[in-house]
This record gives sequence, structure tokens and C-alpha cells, in this order.
Amino acid sequence: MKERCRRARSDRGQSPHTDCKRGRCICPGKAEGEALVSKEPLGFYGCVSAKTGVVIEKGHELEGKCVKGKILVFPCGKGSTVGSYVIYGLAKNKVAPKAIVNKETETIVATGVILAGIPCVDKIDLEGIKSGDKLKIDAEHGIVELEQEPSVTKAEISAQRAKDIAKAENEKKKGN
Amino acid sequence: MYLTKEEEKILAGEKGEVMERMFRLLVRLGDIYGADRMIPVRSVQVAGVSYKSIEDPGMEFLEDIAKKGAKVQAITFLNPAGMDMEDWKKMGIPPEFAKKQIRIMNAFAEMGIVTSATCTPYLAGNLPRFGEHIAWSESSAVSFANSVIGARTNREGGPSALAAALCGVTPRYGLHVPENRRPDFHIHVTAELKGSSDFGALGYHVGKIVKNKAPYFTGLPEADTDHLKALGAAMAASGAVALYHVEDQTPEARLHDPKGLEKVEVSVKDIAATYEKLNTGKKADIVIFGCPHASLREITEIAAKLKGKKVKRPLWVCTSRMVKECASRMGLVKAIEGAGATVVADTCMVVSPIEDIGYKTTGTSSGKAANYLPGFCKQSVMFRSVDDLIREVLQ
Repeated sequence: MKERCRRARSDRGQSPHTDCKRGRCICPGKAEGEALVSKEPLGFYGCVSAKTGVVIEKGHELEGKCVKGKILVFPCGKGSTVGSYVIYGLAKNKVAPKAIVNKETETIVATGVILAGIPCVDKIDLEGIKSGDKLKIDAEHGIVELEQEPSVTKAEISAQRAKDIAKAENEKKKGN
Repeated sequence: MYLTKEEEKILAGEKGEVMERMFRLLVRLGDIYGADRMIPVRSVQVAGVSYKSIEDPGMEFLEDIAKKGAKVQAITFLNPAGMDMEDWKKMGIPPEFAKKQIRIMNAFAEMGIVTSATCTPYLAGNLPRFGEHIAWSESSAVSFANSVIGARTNREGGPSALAAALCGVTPRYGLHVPENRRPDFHIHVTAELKGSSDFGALGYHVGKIVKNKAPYFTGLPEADTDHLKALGAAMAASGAVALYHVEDQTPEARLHDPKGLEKVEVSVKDIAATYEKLNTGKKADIVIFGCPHASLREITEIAAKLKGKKVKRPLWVCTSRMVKECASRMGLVKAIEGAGATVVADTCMVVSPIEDIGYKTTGTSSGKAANYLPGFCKQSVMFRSVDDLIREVLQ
């Protein structure tokens, strides 16, 4: 397994910042995107709106956040057995996460992702994955690659860019 | 996972696209959770019935299966719907909601499912035997079947139970395997429990502690099936308990010894603290009994307490259509309705759109309902005994 990860890394010549974890395939498929991480269990029925993809459970750490297009990371599911239909509904309404990563996927979430065709991997150590991280999922092989973005640098770049634009605009005004 | 030649054929699509898709779901779940093979099931209960829970995508999913002609191969009941299928107008259900709920029920009927919509199938004609493998999904019914009857089922999701009904089998893992039915916690109850609401409070408290593990109770008073229904329902809601044992009272308890398990004592203080925690509202706009669906015994008691009186605020008693029929014949429905209250069949407060009808605080004697009402129905809760709540609505 380690070899596979290493190979994947060197093939694309990525920085050693890439961390690779391997778990169990719940539903095959590939996805790449930004992580949305919950440290507490996440239910779906009554907790996530199937229409909008927004987490609606009062007091949940993801309350108000939208799962659409994210790699949704949470330890395990909870609550009503109707949750499978909510996950299916998210996909039908085009507001589903791109993939789901769990520590332990129970049957309700498993049934939902299989029906909806959402790539899903479990038995992953979620330690070290935080919201905003770039994740690359190869669910069939149970692989979760974590590219730890040098987030400070990125912020600095955009700040610099904003300054540049402001400066250019200022000069333009002066020119006028 | 081992598959028979017959089963391989289903996977190869020889029995049609729906069967292939449903069977593939079961095989994948079996592979994930370490099943060795499929086992036949002859009793199924399917959740995901209310339009409020499954919305348009769920409805279309079911209609598609029905349209393609798939039929169930086991006696299959449904979980509560989002409304009384006969008296929905009286309940104040919006017609748009009703139209979609009827479409969902029609799709299930086309598959050969008994459209008895209840969370207590065991009180309404779907009763498995001890040791029988079944595929049920309503969490309180799963708990009752495993614990009180001694049948064997995992907590199925709505679609996986439907797949089991259509294919007539379920993957053998989890609670289908005897070794996985051992208790994990020893819960010793020193508190004196009086009625169903006390059992509900105990269940809520214990579910939070044991989460998805199996508790073994000692110290419980002799409980009837209504008490055990309340206990199991609350544990399945606050935790994900699918199986529990009660010393000298449930059928598999004698197979196990609580000695050596992690022991937790539940005192009168814990029960009192649970009541306090579950009470988030002061004055109930409506009182709803029957979570899980009221038994004939419970309806008899409520009718006796209401006879000759008048309620000042709405009171619903939720039950299955079967029990309501019997209650009608015995004059109990008349007694309850004579007091200005309503007996509602096929549905319950958690899956019906009560927040849209305008209620803000609901009174309940159910630990399960007290757990779900704030989130699902945006309700404040008044959690009390049946007697206290009836006194409340008569004032």
C-alpha cells in the first residue's frame, strides 16, 4: 500500500507535503476537492437539507455550512434510518458532496452513498485533516491523499494581488 | 461473500434492472460489513415513507421501482406516513403534501407491500418468531424485535430494507450472528419506575451512555410490552441501541451473564435529571401520545381518563390503522373524540409536518419523541407522564 501511495506521489512529482491514507472502499469513484470536516458525528435526516445541502442541525459544528461540492469528512453517522434517502436526495438535487470520508461508515450512510453513487471511503484516521484542505480520493482503492496547502503563503499571495490591483487602479485614476 | 448460482444470475441482470440494482446494494453492504452469505427473510419493515422525510427524490425513486414491476417476496409493512391516509384533511395537512404522500403509498402498494404504516408492526400483524431473521428499519421496532421478541435484524436503512423485501434475502452480518448479540454494559437500575414515561426517561439516559452498544438491565420492575416499547424507542433515539437484555424478562437474557461487564448504576437522581433536560417548554400547544404507536391497552387507559371531560387544547393519540379499528369497535375512539381529542392513524408527530400547522410546544410522554421533536419539528417539549399531560390539556 505504502508503495502505491509513494508511486502515485512521484508520478505527479508532488511535494512531500502530500500525505496518503488508506482505508476501506464503501462506494467506488474518484474525486478531488476541498475538505469540509466535522469532528462530531453527522446525521442526515433532520440535520442536512436535501434541497440545499446546508447543515441545519441546531448547535452542530457544521450548522449553516453547505456540503455541496465538498469532500465531506466526519467520524460516523448518527440518528434516523431515513438518512439514506436524504443522501440520495442531495445527489438528485445536485447539492451532494463530491465524496465522503469517515472513520466508520454505518449502514445508513453506506446505503445512501451506494444509491447516490457518491465515492466513499472509511477506516481513515481523520487526525490532521481540516476544513479547507485539498483532498484527492480514489475510493475503489480506499485511498485518500491529503495535499497540505501552504495556506499562509496562499493568503499572502492573494493579499499581495489585492494590493497590486488597488495600486494599478489608483494609478489609473491619477492618469485620468 | 458466497453467492448461490441463482444469486449470481440476479447480479448478471437476468431478473431485470431493478432486481440487479437492489441485489447489488445488498451484496455491497454484505461485502463491507463482512457477511459470509445471504440469508432468507420472511418479514420486512421499510422506513422512509413520509413525504416529509424522503421528498421528491425518494418519491421518484420508489415510483421508478414500482413502474418497472418489481414485487416484494416477504410480508412487508411500512413505517408511519406523513399523515393519516384517511383523515388528513381533518389533521390540517396541506393538499400539496397529501397528493405526494398518496403517490408514495401507491408506489409501495404496487410492489405488493402492505400499506399498514406503523412503527409497531408487531402490534399490527407483522410478528416474527424468536430467532427468525428479518430486515426491519424503524429503529424502535428493530429494538423491540431483537430484544423483546428475540428475532434478528440489523438497523436497516429504508432502501436496504426495501432491497431485502424485493430480493427476499439480507446479508448475514451484525445482529444476525449470535456472537454479536452479547451485552456490552451492565445497567443496574435503583430508581423506582412508575409508567411508560419513566421507562422513556431511563432509555434516553442509557442510550446516551451506551451509544450503539447492547445494555443488560438488572433491577427493573416487571415491565409490560408498552414499557419495553418506550424503553427501547428512547435508547434507539438518543443512542443507536438495536438490542438490549432485561434480566428475567427478555428471551435472550438467560444466555448471558452481566458479571464482568462495565457496570453503570441509574438512580432516581438520573431519572429526575433526564426529565429536567428533556423539558424545554412550559405550556404545551398540543399533546401527542403514541410514540411509538399506542397499543390497545394504552388507548384504553387514555379513553378512561378522558371520558366525560373536555380538552382545552388539541390532544392526538397516534396509532396504527389496525389498532384504531379495534378501538373504534370498542367505543374507545368515540370516548376520546367525545372529549374533543383525536385518534390519528398511519402517522405520528415526528414525521408529520406539525411545525407547518403552527404548533410551537408539544407535550409528550415519549422519550423518543422528546429527543426528536426539537430538531425535526422545531418544537419545544413538555415531557411528563400520561396523567400529568392529560391534566395539562384539561385545564
